[in-house]
Amino acid sequence: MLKYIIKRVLITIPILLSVILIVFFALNVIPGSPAEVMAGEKADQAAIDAITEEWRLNDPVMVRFWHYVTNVVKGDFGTSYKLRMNVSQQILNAFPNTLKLAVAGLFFAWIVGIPAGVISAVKRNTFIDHFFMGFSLFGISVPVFFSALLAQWIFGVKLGWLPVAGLSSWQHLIMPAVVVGWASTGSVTRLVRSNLLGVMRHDFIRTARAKGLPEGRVIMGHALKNSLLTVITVMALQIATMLGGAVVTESVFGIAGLGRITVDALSSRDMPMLQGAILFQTMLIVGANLIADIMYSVVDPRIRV
Amino acid sequence: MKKILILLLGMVLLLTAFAGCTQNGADPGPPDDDGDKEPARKVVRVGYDTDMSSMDPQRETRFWMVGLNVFDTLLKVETLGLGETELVPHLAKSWDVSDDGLVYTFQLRDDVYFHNGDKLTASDVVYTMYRLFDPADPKGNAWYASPIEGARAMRRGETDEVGVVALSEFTVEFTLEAPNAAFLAIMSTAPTSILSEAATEAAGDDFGTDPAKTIGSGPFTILNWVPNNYYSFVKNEDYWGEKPDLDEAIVKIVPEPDTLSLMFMAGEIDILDLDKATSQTKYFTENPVYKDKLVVWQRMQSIYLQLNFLEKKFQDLRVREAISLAIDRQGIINSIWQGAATPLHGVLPNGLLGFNPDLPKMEYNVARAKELLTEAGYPNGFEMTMYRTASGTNNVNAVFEILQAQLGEIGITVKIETMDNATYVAHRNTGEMEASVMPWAADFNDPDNYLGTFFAAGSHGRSINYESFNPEAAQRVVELKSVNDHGERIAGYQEVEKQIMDDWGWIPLVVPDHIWVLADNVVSYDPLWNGWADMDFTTVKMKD
Repeated sequence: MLKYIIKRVLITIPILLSVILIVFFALNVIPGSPAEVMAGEKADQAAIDAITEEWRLNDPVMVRFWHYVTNVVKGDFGTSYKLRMNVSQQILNAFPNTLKLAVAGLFFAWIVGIPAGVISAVKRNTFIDHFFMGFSLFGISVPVFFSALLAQWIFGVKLGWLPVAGLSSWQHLIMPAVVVGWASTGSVTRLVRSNLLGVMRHDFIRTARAKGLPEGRVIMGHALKNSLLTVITVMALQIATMLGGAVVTESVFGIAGLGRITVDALSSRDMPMLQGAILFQTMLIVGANLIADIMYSVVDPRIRV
Repeated sequence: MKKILILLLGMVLLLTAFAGCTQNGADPGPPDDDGDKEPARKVVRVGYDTDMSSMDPQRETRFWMVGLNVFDTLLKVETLGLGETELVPHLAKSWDVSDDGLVYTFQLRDDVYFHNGDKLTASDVVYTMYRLFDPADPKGNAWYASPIEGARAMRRGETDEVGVVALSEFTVEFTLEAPNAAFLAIMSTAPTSILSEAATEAAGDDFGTDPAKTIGSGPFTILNWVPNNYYSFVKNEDYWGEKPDLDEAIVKIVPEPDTLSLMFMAGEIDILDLDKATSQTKYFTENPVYKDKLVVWQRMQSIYLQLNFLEKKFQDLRVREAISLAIDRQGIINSIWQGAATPLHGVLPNGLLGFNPDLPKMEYNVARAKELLTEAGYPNGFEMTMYRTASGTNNVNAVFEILQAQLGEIGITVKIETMDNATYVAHRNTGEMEASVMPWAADFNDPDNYLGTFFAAGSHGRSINYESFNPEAAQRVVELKSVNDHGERIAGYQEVEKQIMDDWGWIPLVVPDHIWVLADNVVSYDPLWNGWADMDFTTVKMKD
């Protein structure tokens, strides 16, 4: 088991290196100089030249790349061109907000999605099945943008139950979490339902029933456990996506998270900030996949071999 | 058993990461309910769609909230009425100008203290200017003060002296390169805010990034700034001038305009800038509930269409005129600004110094436009590309689609190319951008701020390239800067503007109004003279 984990961790190193490489060179190819953005809309050429010089933007790309990689290895993600602040600090400031949203959103998605899937499978083709399927289809298809504004209008303005935007208390978290979680609920519900239906046809379920187990134990103890493998993959990917920052949700609810930082850095050509944010998100995704792989081997020992 | 253990371990890890990060100095957002703590405190909360990039007034090029509220300038612009402004003494209590218009001597007030308790003296003014031009640490706003002798050379690293000297503790002398009638107006802008030498030097790189170390002498101090989240100001109890009515001002950063208006309706912000939510204009302006709660101001902003003179088809004045004739300005106003704008007929917007109300009015005449195109040899029109930035104002970007349709009426096929801001600026700076619609807002009240930017010889004028078409007029724009006589100078600018309009060097579109909606707890708010979104919080009065 330990050997397996070490092997998996070592594989992530070349992945991270190639991400740095690709991001760095891609950002150098796209047009638009950070100096022009930093100097501002109305600045003259002298200001742009001076800023180019100050940040050594005219150095050969290989020199800058080497400089960047050696600093990253030392744990230094550099200073934001735009804000002149430490990149790691900015990421650490934004990440808790993204994390709160992700944890709360996924909590909602799973706590609703898994039971809904199980119930739909058990009560297949009944009203309750159709209801949950409709609910999940709606969650998948309605853009977050729309459901967010609708929720803000109803619960924030008309009913006044919840704050419209911001993230300064736990009440602020409810609306964005439900909105962002709802979209994920859909896929979890449908996946649990179809997997469970597939598993229910297996011989071991018939055996379990034949030996007189109550239906609840058959479903929860035997069927559900065996149908969770693909669900875990999807859940791990959901974690990774959510931790990367939900740009639209963060914008609509005025949450200062990773998604906003990334988009903002891209539009201002703030290279150190953008590289830092992307690298951080890569680590999260690689990490989430790693956890998913380890979870598989816990749930299904055959994978370890 | 083992499985459950690992699962539990995973959960615990996730939770500790969560807790760890929160303690890392992260700030979830501004406090919302001040009501139950100290009911007497007056706090105004406003929403903004974009955050500033620095609190340093010499670096921040787009947002002047900090400059206006935390720092002071030598002079101040006082608004008398629409388009009527007066420069009044501020840090400088009086000044003399030499006969040749080159030397300005300012007498400073002797009762001004920075937020750290240090007295503001002439040496701080000198320090501020040297810092602005420092070639080793370039500032985006350095161009504002270019008229000062040696400023350009110092920025290129060719000299280490500029024309600013402290004559005594409270007397400071500025020498200009050439007479410049706009100089006093420039010294009233946020980029020329006076910094404290001691505090700024002590702060080093933290000046502009650390609220506690970003010190000015203004009516507010900065309490907090969490980028992309919010920033806040608190009243400076020891302010030398009239103390603000507010105790605190909080600026929340919310990129989504519809969210901003919902926040206003739910009472989470107290002043709504309708610029950020134009789609809601009708809802607020026609709703009787808000009738007495609207603040309407005309901005000193021209929205214009630029056509590059380097393009062969745009060298034919008939083509330029045809394009202008095909544009239904009122239609644009009704559909985008819901009526809250006026058509523009020249380069300068109404209210700016030198505005000429007698310029011929822009016409809308599709038949005549078609004739002109045919005469010019384009009976079937042509194709053109108009560029815009993805981060541009929603309203200005919406103009592109309308122009696409309106120009389509006379056979011109408009291709719209949307770029992110950096790419757009890079393309425009090559001088080769074919066409674009942009807004230009007045930085200071002088025609040079417009004409000098777009039509002066020696630059491509943001891809208009007027000099290539009419070099004499472009040269005249440069010369007018150093004409000393006010009347002669303004008349000169009006002549050049007329010439530019005759050459269709600039296709004027509209001047939008700027409307704010105040919540019940806000008594009044006065916009800046130029109608910008930046707020001077000393003008906000709240209910007790």
